[in-house]
Amino acid sequence: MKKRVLLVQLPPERYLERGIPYLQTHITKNRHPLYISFQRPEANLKEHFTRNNIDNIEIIDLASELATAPPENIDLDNIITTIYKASLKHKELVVFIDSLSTILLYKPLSELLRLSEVLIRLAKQKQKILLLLGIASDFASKEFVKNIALLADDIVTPNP
Amino acid sequence: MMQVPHFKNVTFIETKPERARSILEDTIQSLTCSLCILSISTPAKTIRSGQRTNVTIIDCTGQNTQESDSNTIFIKNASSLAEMSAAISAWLEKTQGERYFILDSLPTLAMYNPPSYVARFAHTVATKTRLSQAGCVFLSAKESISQELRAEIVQICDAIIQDD
Repeated sequence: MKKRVLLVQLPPERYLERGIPYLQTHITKNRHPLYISFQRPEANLKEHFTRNNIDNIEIIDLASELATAPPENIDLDNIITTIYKASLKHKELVVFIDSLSTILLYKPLSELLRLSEVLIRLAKQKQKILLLLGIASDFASKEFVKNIALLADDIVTPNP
Repeated sequence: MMQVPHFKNVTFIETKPERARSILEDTIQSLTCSLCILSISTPAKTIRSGQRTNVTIIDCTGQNTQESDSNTIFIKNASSLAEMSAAISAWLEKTQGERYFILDSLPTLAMYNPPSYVARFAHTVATKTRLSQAGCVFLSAKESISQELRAEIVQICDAIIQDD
């Protein structure tokens, strides 16, 4: 059975430098990329994607919303709906969640765990979504990361 | 002199504790554009020197009895993150073109606030400056903040400078 959920551990100093090329290895002609960003606004990410010759990526910019509106206004269920709708539109989907620890800055642990569980279930059931859960490697020993890692198919540490 | 990476970047500068003051001075000198300095432990009058008028200082030392003016904003309490955030937003709104926000410094801010609040504050400030096409510099002394707080902040930065 194909791996559908990967916990991607990235060095914090080289988070995007390693994360973007890794995401790139999973983008194919039939697999559309969707980037859910809690860390950086869209314009900043686009610069990095352009530098890596990724031009067809869809970015959901939650970082800007979190910086300009109360976090209570952000409903994590909308992420599930967005991913589900995108999966209906495309043959296959690769979704990068950037990142688990950043979500935790704004949302309670219970909401992060629920979001992760629902997304993992969705990816495993649909069999057309590859879910990449980004996390800085310094958080690997945190309890919430261990709980999510138990549900993932694999834990990867991309090398340059 | 410290060279901060080009405009629009979010930069993390890590120094030896004894070099922190001179790194701040170097950073201010190397950036001739408009600046906003959020100072947690150094009073505005100590930072302000020379004839530069394009420097706004948000002084959170709580040592001043003066009224805020257009170039100096006094915040009584270093744990008033909402007040600091509002002052930064106001500066971003009133200035245009090339400009930098400097946070001096993360360890002192972390002395007055829980690490998760500091991480969230830094994240919000970095995003606000990016959205306003401004630069942002976080100053920190080496090994003076927890590994987790450091990781949370450096992962959102475009450049990390180690001053050895």
